[in-house]
Amino acid sequence: MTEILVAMGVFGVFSAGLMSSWFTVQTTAVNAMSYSQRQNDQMRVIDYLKRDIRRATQVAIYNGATPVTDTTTFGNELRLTIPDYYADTREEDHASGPKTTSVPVRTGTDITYGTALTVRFSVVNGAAIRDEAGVPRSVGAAKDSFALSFKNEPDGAIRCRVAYAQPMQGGTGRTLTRSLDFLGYPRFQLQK
Amino acid sequence: MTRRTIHRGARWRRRASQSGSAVLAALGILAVTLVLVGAALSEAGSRFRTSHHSSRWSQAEHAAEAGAELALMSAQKGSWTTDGWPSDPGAVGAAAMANTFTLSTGVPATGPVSASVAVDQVAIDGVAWLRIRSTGRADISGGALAGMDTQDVLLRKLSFRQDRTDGTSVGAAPRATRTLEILAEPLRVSPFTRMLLLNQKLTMSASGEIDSFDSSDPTKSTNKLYDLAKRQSRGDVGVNDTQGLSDLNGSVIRGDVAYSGPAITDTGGVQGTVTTPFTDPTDVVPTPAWTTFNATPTIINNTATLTGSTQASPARYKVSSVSLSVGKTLTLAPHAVGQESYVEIWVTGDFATSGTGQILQQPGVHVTYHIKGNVDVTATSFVNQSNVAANCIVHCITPPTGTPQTVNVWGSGRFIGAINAPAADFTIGGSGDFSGAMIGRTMAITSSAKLHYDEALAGTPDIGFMTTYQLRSWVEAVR
Repeated sequence: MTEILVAMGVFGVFSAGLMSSWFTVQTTAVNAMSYSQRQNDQMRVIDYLKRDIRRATQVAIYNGATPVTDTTTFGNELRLTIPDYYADTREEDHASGPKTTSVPVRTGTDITYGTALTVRFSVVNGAAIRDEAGVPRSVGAAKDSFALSFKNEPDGAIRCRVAYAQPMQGGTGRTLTRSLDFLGYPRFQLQK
Repeated sequence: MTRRTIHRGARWRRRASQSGSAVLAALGILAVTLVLVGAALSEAGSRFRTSHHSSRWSQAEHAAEAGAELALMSAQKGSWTTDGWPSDPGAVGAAAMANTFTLSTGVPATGPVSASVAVDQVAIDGVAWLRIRSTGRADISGGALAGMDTQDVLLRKLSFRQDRTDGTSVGAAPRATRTLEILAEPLRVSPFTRMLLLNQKLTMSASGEIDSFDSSDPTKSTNKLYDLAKRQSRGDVGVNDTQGLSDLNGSVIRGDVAYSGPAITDTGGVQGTVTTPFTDPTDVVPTPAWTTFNATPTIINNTATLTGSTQASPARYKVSSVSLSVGKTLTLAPHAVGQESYVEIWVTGDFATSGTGQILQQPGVHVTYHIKGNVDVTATSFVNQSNVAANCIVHCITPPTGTPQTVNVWGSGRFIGAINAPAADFTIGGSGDFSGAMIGRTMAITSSAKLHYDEALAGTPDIGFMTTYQLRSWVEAVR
């Protein structure tokens, strides 16, 4: 009898340790995978911003409906004016189908392609949204709880802050936040 | 069989059963661990791959920009074939010419990066603009595996099987590609950026002098004319190859002297800096391509009046020669009093004045001469009543290689104008007073002539043939 009780006790302790380790490993793995996916989303949002800022012909920052024109205040929406390079109404990124380009037209000292597109970057319910000509698309998932903020820099660059808050498993209310700043330079500023 | 033997057999069977459970448990733990490790490795691999794709996608853009900049540089210098391009860009509508640049050669720890650039010309508002399409390519490693998310695929559009820009197979080298389209407007720039620009030697007498003024700035000129009291010190001189025979003889030069080749001697009078090396290639002066012009006169050798016209449609005359001797006056008159008026005169032979023969250029008249032959004039013969050098431009058409061309200016009068004769040998005699700028092959100033560079010439682009390109548009072809 004693032998059985000792064996059960040892087995219980061993099982508890094993289960604890299992849950810890599982939680860590889930958190790590989640972290990896969020970083991936963050990288994509940054790549979109870098590309679109680079090709923008006008850049404006808004805080709600209020334009931000100074170099100290952050806004939560970035509005970019982008040449409508392709002569169709598909989203610029959709590659399947014709790739006929618009004819460049001179207006003063500027060149325009078609009717310029407005591209907006903002956050809706935690998702990073890229809205091209009124058609919104999520480029960073809602579960990432993204935060985007933008600021004019004195040298004409656009400071973009892309942050996310990752809820951590295995704890109560713990979140992992990761924020990255980068400077985007519209190409038009370099050509004038 | 005894009881002991039976008991030993039961214990052995129990141990065998326990031993099997341990193996199963170990295998189970190992399997779970392997699954977790595998998932972590898979996640890490995907993460690394996506990060790598992002990095190479950015490098492809840098490559595309570099390719476009290289093409633009060749355009600015007009050095297409020298820079390895198959030819100059053809006329509007001609097929684009292409060149490929490998940008990763000698760069450690990077995969292949290249730029394929196509250049042609497109008509915008009737003017031939340069169109540069540059595709940057950066090979990616890690196999033909797309990113973790369809949004990544939509954004980066990597070429795993076929190059998405030209449809060719990528073989075992998947790549990121980015394509840019640049439009550049041709612009003329003034060739007169210093008092003297010579391809070869310069000799001056000890009494020569060079300085500057600015006809567009009342603080640096009076009634647009050179004023000794307001003179400036930008009378710069550049000599591309001194030939070992250049000598300033201590002449006063209120400006900088830059040269290549053997040192210029006796530069003690230079009040700016004397530097070497120096390179500023002169441009060929082309023969006009007019097909319409006024039928008369066909030669100018007597008193006559030529009337100008608007800048958009200047009055054009083509004559076999100009020869104004004593008492003969060529009057250049505006088409309307008080209006800016433009005249172009193409001289297919020599241009000469002597004695009191003169060219009276009335106020508001802008004249441009295109002279194929030699020039032999007196400084007093040019009466530029606008007082502005930019209103009197003399282009001496570059002759075939080996054909000599001379520009001789004599006398003591005041010449206000600019002479662009990069193939001509200049001789300046007498005590003339020159306000403007000169470009030539060689120059000998044999007298006490005074040369005053009009700084306003540098800011007058319409007087030149040199073409530069201004970047007007930059777009990325994201599909």
